[in-house]
Amino acid sequence: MAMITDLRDPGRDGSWLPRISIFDGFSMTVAVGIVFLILYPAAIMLYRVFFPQGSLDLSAFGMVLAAPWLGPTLFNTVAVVVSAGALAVVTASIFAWLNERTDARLGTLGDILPIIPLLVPAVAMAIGWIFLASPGAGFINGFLAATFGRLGIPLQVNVTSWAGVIFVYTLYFIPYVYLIVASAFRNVDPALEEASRLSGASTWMTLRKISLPAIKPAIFGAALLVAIVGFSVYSIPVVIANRAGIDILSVRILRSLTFEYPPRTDQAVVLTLFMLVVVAAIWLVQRRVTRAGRFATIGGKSARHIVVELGPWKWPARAIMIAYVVCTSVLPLLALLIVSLQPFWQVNINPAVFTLDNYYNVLIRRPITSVAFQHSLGLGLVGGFVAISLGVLMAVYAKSAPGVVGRTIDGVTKLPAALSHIVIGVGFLLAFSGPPFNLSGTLFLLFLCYIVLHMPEASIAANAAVSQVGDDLLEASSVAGASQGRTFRKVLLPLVLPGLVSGWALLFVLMAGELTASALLAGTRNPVVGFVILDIWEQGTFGTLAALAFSFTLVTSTIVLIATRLSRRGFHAR
Amino acid sequence: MSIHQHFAPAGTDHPVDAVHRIRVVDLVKTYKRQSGGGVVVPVNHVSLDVSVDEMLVLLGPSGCGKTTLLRCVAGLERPDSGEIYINGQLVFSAARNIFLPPNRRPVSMVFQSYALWPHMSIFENVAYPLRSRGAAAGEIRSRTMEALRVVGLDTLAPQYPGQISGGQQQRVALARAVVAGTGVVLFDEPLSNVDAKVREQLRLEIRRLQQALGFSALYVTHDQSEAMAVADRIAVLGDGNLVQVGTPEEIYNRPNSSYVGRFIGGANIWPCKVTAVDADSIRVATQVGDFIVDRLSPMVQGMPEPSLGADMLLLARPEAMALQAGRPVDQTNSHRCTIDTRVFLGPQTEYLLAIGGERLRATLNSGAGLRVGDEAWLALSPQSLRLLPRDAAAGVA
Repeated sequence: MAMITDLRDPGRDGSWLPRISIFDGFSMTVAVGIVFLILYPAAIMLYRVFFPQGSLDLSAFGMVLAAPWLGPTLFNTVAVVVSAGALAVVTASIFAWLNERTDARLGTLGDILPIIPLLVPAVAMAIGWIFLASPGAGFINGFLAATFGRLGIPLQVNVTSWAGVIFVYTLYFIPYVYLIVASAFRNVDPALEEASRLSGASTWMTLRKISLPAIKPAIFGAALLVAIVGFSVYSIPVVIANRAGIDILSVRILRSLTFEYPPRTDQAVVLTLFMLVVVAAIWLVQRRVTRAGRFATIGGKSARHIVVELGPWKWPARAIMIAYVVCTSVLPLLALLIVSLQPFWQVNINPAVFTLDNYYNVLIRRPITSVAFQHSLGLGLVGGFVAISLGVLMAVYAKSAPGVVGRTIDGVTKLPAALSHIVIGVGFLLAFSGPPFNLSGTLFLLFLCYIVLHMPEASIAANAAVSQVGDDLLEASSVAGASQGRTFRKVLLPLVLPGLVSGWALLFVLMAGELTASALLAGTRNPVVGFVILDIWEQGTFGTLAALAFSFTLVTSTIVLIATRLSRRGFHAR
Repeated sequence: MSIHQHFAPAGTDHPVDAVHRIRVVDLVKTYKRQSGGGVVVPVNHVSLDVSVDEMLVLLGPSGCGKTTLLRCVAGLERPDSGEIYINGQLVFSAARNIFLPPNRRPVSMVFQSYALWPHMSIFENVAYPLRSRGAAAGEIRSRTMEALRVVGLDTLAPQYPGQISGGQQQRVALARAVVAGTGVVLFDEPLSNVDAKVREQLRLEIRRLQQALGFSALYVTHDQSEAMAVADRIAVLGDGNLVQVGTPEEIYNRPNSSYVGRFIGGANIWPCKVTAVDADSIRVATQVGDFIVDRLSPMVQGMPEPSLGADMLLLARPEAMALQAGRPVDQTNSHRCTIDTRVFLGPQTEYLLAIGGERLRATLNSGAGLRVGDEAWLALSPQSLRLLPRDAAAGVA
């Protein structure tokens, strides 16, 4: 009998949307369009590498496999991602536990932690750390020389080293893990932990036997996400690992396309395929692991959890979390600010020589940077709006469409997340820049690529917003005599709007600060901030670079904070 | 009179049927099982009518298909076959491929979750059905305030749903359902989210509203006391089938199956064999002992015709069971038993009796002075017993 209630799925059959309508037709077209934009470049990419002259030719593979740098590059990449990933999973899970279960929780600061990557773009953080901890010229080293150095202790730090690279990667990974694990902790039915405590289990045993098993899938999911993000991240290796002489796969791929002439497309595609295989392997492992065991079902109640009192450990625990926030945002931004105000980068900070020349150069005098600034903001604003609108369309359609279609749409919109920015960027470069599309050097190419790259985030944000609106609210409108259009306008839209605003802010930041695909698809004809930052980095004019990175961070974080504030206003709660 | 004489073809409004507000004809709704294949049939060839100003309660355990049936009438689910008429208008017909969406059906609905829109004020929530149907501004204002006054919430009009209590929210949902005067209101377990005290208040209020405003209602619940309190008639559903329809008294006194008997009022039902059939009485043998059943009492109307030697079921309501410490003078239908458990309920006390391998429940006025472990005599009047068919397990009428 219970089967019937389980099967009854109101939204599916609830016909507040008709079976076939303009709406459905449009949604299907968009879904097909997204599938095309993902699969067509992938197909072109494979064709180009396997059939370079129209017949099967595996010489590109042979050449890459024979290359002397291949072994070290793969080893370096795996070593950095695995060690930093492991560190991040452990640290972030501890942070999540501290914030969700103990009296060391940080309140607002704990809420900010997961959105730090939105406030401070990774490239700004990486450059900030170069300014902070380069051998000799870094501000931290200047400070250490002025303090410990005088005492005869030659203590110095060096970010352009293995340890430095792993450190910055870890800083970058932590919010991704934190976001997933913290929400898993929040969603565990508190009764499970209470029952354990009342059965006589200690805090430690409850954590080990009950809480951790319940959030195990989340931890594996976070590890997978970190691996995907980690293999494709370009900003940190191009800035830091390069200087440390550590060859990383993503940098090698982009260099063979952008720094070599003629571009070594075959080599880039073969390396991209390696990356794809690694990601697919991790994905399969993750599926096996999460499927193997039965995990505690997670209830949606927002009940209160037991708060563990840490006693003397409370402040040390807090200090570590605060230190993390300082390392990812305050310190790098401060370093960027100081360098941007100096005529040239020097370790001695002298406010007397501070000048706004760099800002004048970046924002007004140099056309390429000011144009890039406008392009990035424009692409972020418009692209974010288009992506979130498509996300809502897909979410609403998936909700009303019968099971298989709904699941297919959901799968398609999530597909780009399983590929990496590099894979998609390379695919777009090969598929759309030349004939018959000839989109090379256009903003439209960037726009399309950004939409595809960030469809998963758009779809997750839109789904979260739409699924919060119970079917009964829509059905009530329908039974009250409202047409579908009226139900959409008067009930659904006002209710999902706050969620969409924050989703839009997320997409805005991701698109405006996008680096990987921009490095491939942007140029002097269609410059964007990500491209220009890398360009200036190569030239080594640090003051301009710092001014650009700092002002861009300022603009994006302001918009994110305003949007977050707007979306949290919520409804008239009791 | 056939249906076709009553109703004009679909799409055209027809003078309202003088008797029926809702007419469901041979309705079927099936779902494919998501795992393991096969189908579930939450609505299995159900036909029923709701008259003008009648409250028909769909009663059954969770998963019996009552909510699916209600949602089919609302237009929130599309049935597989059958027909549905509302106010004489054909709103669904599988054969003629007619399916009116909910917003074009003259019904309103009260949801289990209230389904108040959190971004609209109480006033706007209640005004919504009028706005949707394009009423004039002045009319919207006066009718909305009138509806709020009827449920006693006119002072809360500018508040938002998040600011009022659960009971008040359900009153707002009621006002929203009656404001447009659709004449048909569907209730989907409207009281299952409020606490027991508010529930009793609200069910009286729903009844009062229905009699004051005059509307027909289809009311889904799994709570038999709620059903008794609000219903003009009750339709008992089991596994997608309509098992019995009747007034609360009929359903209670003359269940047509052990399923209905057990579901309503928790009857004692145990197997028996017919040993003698006379003109005015029937004698049966059971594990508990022999009993005589009166054939002429109103209680046994509609009883299946028993034949000698037939295997049947005997039904006795707990409150019809008389218990006393000593042996009664009239020994008809009297048997010895042991008090197994005693539960004090205030004015009444409930006993669980061990008798001939069966366990029977008896409800007596408190003060009988029987204790656990005592021996006692059970007596049942021949007029209080009812025979039921043996094969009537769950769901078969």
